[in-house]
Amino acid sequence: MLRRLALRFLYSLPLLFLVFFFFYPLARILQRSLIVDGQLDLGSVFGTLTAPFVWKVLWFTTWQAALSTLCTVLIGLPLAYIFSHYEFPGKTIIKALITVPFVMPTVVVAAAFTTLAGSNGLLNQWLEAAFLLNEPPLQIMRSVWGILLAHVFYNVSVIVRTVGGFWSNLNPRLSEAAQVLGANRLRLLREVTLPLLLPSIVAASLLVFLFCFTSFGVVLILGGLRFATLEVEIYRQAVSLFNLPAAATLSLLQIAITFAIMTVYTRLQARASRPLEMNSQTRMTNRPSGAHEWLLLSGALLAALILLLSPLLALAWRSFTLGDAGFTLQYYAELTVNRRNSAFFVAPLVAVRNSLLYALMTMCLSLILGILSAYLLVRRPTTLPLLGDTVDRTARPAKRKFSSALLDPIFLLPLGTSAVTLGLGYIIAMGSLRTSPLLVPIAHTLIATPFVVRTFLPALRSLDPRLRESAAVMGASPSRVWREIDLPLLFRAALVGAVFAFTISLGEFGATLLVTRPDIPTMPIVIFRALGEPGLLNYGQALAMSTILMVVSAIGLVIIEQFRFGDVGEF
Amino acid sequence: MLELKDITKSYTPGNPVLRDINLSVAAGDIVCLLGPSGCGKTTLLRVVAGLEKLDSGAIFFDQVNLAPVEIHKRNFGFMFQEYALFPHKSVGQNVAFGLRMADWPAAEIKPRVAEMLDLVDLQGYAERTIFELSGGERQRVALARSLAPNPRLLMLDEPLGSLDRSLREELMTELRIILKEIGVTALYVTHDQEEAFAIADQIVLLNAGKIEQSGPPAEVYAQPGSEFAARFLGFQNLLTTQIHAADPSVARTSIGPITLLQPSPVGTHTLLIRPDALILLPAPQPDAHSAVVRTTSFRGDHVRVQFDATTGVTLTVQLPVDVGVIQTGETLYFRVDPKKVVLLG
Repeated sequence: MLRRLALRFLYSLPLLFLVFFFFYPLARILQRSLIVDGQLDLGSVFGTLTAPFVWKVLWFTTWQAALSTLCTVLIGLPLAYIFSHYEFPGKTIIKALITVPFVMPTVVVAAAFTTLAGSNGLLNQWLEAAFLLNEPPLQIMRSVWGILLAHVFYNVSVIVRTVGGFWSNLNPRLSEAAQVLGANRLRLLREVTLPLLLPSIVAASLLVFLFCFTSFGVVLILGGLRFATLEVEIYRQAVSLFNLPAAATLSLLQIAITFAIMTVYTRLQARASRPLEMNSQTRMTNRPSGAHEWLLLSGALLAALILLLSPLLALAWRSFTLGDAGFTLQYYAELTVNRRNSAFFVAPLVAVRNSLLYALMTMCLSLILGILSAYLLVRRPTTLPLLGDTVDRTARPAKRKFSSALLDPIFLLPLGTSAVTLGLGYIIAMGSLRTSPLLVPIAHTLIATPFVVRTFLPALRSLDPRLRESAAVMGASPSRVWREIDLPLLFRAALVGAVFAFTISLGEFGATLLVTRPDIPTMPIVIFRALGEPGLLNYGQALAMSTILMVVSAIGLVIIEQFRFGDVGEF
Repeated sequence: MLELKDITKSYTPGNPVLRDINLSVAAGDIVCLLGPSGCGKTTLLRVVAGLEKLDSGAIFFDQVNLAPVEIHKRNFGFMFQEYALFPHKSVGQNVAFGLRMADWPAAEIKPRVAEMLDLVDLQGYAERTIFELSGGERQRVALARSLAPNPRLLMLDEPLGSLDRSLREELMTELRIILKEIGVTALYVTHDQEEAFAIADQIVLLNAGKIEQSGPPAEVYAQPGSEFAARFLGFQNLLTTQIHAADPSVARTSIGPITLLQPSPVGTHTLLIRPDALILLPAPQPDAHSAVVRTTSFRGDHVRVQFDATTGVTLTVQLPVDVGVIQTGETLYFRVDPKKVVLLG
């Protein structure tokens, strides 16, 4: 009896965590914006919301997200086609390389793009030397194109993997049937391929739109003072202008918009994953036939790899060659030293230690919460491990469906909510806890847990209940069943989720910026500070630390790739 | 009408799926490609449709070489094994697809769709979605869809494969009636010989990418050309036999000498004894064979009996129901009807 009670408590932990560390801070934000001097004041809310600068920011946020999404889709679709239809040497590696940008921390990306295409960047240096110019010809980093490029950089892999995965599971017989019935290539695309692909494209685009809409680090660093998304504006209002009510109101706006997007997205996701044909076949991939196809294929892949890898390579390169001394390790060596006037308050290696510790804490916490949440979210009647009772199949299926339909976007909410809003919420809500260093891993956990859930849930759903049933019939107790049947299958998913959480925590910037204690900085914070400080030494150290962060994140990705299941329905 | 000349095709080098296939199909004929899984019959179909490329050889339709003709320009019909109906279109839109691709005027499409649905006995189904249909209904829609644009040649890839037995029986005869009514030339692929016999004008038996035998169904059944053909058609009583020059009308087998209808070539052959070739004798007779009953199995309209002949050969025969009670272990004496044995290659 007590055991059951304890276990039910265990299962309600994720919800409790969400309530206390997410909904409560958000509620306080709500309170802060709506209640001034103890009274409900909608006037100030309206005042903020109708201020022209807010609409300017909102408009900018929206159109840059839309344009970024469009560019990402246009670049991602041909790549998705290539990966779902063709077999070629190095396919797995190239696919992993295309995904590397996605796990890169925003500070790394910002530093990388600046290194490559900034006014003093590599490209400009080469162009100036080659064409004997006085002025750097490429000014993209000063324009909105820098932001757009960075967004495309980040999100191409989302399109390639989700749409590509869906496309490769599209029944190839359908296009064969259409062709035999007289459809040429164009009509085939229009009549069969695109209509069937559309739900998946729209879902993936929505996700990309969401990521671009809530973009913070990229816009903050690359946008300078000229460009601000809603996120950046919230940060400015809170940290630079100390206008907490305004920041809070903007946060609410942000949450409302992202919740709307997320709801539409989860609905579409469910629709896109419904089987279209009763027995669908996995497409057989062929090698490209003929020089023509090989040429197109290699051209497209080469262009993609150049776009996606050159900033990172430029970053690494520059970290070794900054200044005029040729190849040097001095900036890396500097990381171990704590100079008195350095921008870092601590020896940079200490920041590395902090980041690693936070990442480990985040990993453990989000793994626990994520797995528990996944079990709660699985729609099929299932045996909750150790509890031993099967969710009642006969009683009130409507109620169960409703609650899990509602829980799904709720658990996803932290993913869509801005990290800055979260940080803001902690500042407002946590009172004396505000200065606790534990807030950082907690914030990281909130951000990382949805990824764990999204990784673990499909694995859980793929567990065939008949396996479990047959084991039970053969005499295995519920806990035995869980250990022997579920555990090996789920271990991989858990591993992937853990590495995901770890990598996300390492690179998290937005919430950390608001919540961190200055004396316990993380790597992204330290990099951000150094990027803003003058001096070659500071800049060089920023590059060195960024490169370290980049390598660690890439390693994390490799591990994820090794152990991940399949491609469909990843996000 | 359709000529296949020296068709060779491999998916992986060194492993030909089709080897030197030569075939002629007359206009209006239903030709059935019959064979076990992996024998290349579906590949042959796909090659004719243009869905796969040939390694060597040529396909002629109406004396025109099909090599440069793209899939969508061939005006053939193809019924896939899993139907491949467009899930995002209604029944009517599926059937109309080929007509729209051929740029039929809209006014003519609707009546044609109705006509086709009528033909396959699905009147009024035009507005339904694919998901509402049963297996048999989907098969009919697939048929209507492929017939609607009046294809010059219809290819069917195991269309009855995923249906249950009673449905298959029903649709087998119906399919032939529909195809004959339209008068379309058809290439039909199946691994089920009963289906092939019911539907085809010509049977082409494929074995590991080569044509083993071809001919009208009755002929193929009466005279299987090889042991493979006989086994595939379901015959089980295949004995090695010697024919000596001294007595060319007698086949010497391990169960004893069997008289043949006519003198046959000297040498070693395989002898097929049809399941109904045994004439039971009430009492042992000098030139009778004997065997011990191993199993009996009542099959409704006949009794299936397995014998162990004296030398360890097992014969499976069908005896009429009125043969009376047969005990396992009983020794039976019989003669073999010379009209019901076939000497194979």
